Amino acid sequence: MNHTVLITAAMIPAGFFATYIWRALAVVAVTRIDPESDLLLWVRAVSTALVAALVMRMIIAPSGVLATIAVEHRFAAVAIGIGVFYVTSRSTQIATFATVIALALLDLGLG
Amino acid sequence: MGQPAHSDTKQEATAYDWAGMAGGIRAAFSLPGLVMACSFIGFGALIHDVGFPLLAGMATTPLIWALPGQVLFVTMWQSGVALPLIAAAVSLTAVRLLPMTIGVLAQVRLKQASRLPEFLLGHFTAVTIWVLSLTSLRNVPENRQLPWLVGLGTALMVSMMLVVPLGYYLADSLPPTLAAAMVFFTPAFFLLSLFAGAIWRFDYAAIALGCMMLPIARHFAPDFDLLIAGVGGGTLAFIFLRPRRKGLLK
Repeated sequence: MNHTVLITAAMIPAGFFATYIWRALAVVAVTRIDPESDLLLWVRAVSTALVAALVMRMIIAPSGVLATIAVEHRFAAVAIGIGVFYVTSRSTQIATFATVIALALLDLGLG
Repeated sequence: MGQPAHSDTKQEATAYDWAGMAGGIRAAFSLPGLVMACSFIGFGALIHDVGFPLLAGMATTPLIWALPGQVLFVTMWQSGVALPLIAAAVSLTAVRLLPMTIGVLAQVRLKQASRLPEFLLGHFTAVTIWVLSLTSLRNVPENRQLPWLVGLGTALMVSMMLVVPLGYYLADSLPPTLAAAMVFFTPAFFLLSLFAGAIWRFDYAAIALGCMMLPIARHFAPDFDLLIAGVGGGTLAFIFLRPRRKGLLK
């Protein structure tokens, strides 16, 4: 319990403020900033690459139960998901389910 | 009492009509809401997996309200990374919320109305809200759009916090294949959302470079892998493929 309180207290600066600052800046800036200025485009690229890197880390170096799935199956499931995404004219929803189902089937069928 | 004889149909409203919240709350129970719930169930399984306390994991939902930031906070905390580094990484993934929030607000704010509700909507803005604001607001009257999104955000935030324990406890009782599949919802949804949000070639380059640089960065500086791959990959994409044809964001 104490551990929970400590983490939640740490989360207020390192989680809440770290995140909300950008939302608040957006509210302040919406009346005057151009969403396609070079600064914001750079920001867009960095945040995209950061989330992509996070995904990659969860695929190549997962902790816990995901590590019990063969790495080839993790990559294959993602590839299938991307394929389904384009086949279904870019449906994030269907493709997300397809990725997860593919992972389970690959693991059960070939594992 | 008399209406202006030739009132413009776009006559600017000066106050929000909060009755619009009801429609937004209903919209939370939809397919995008379901996918989001699966991701949060997966997040519950993930925090169980890495040994993060359940209540603190639930608290990330209303405090951070952006799943990439929540996953970063949890995984970096569990690997014992120093708090300022965690804050920097979480903050960097949240920068994407700035243009997103500007886009959402520019669409729904009333120029004459109080600005305080915009700070509230800002806190609710994340990928799902952004997507729904682009697709579901067409039939909502102008002065109800912001309340509609606040209703949607409130309903989603409460529901997502409540499904986290579901994943946390299911992770223990499910066969490993199913438990792993649940955890996999999160990276799958993140990656596909990146593709869904990509407009320019440099968006795709940023995705590819972020993925490719991660293993390299991890090899040389495991503590800074995400920051290096994110800042490095994004900056390279920006330098070489910055879009010249603009006007596509709004």
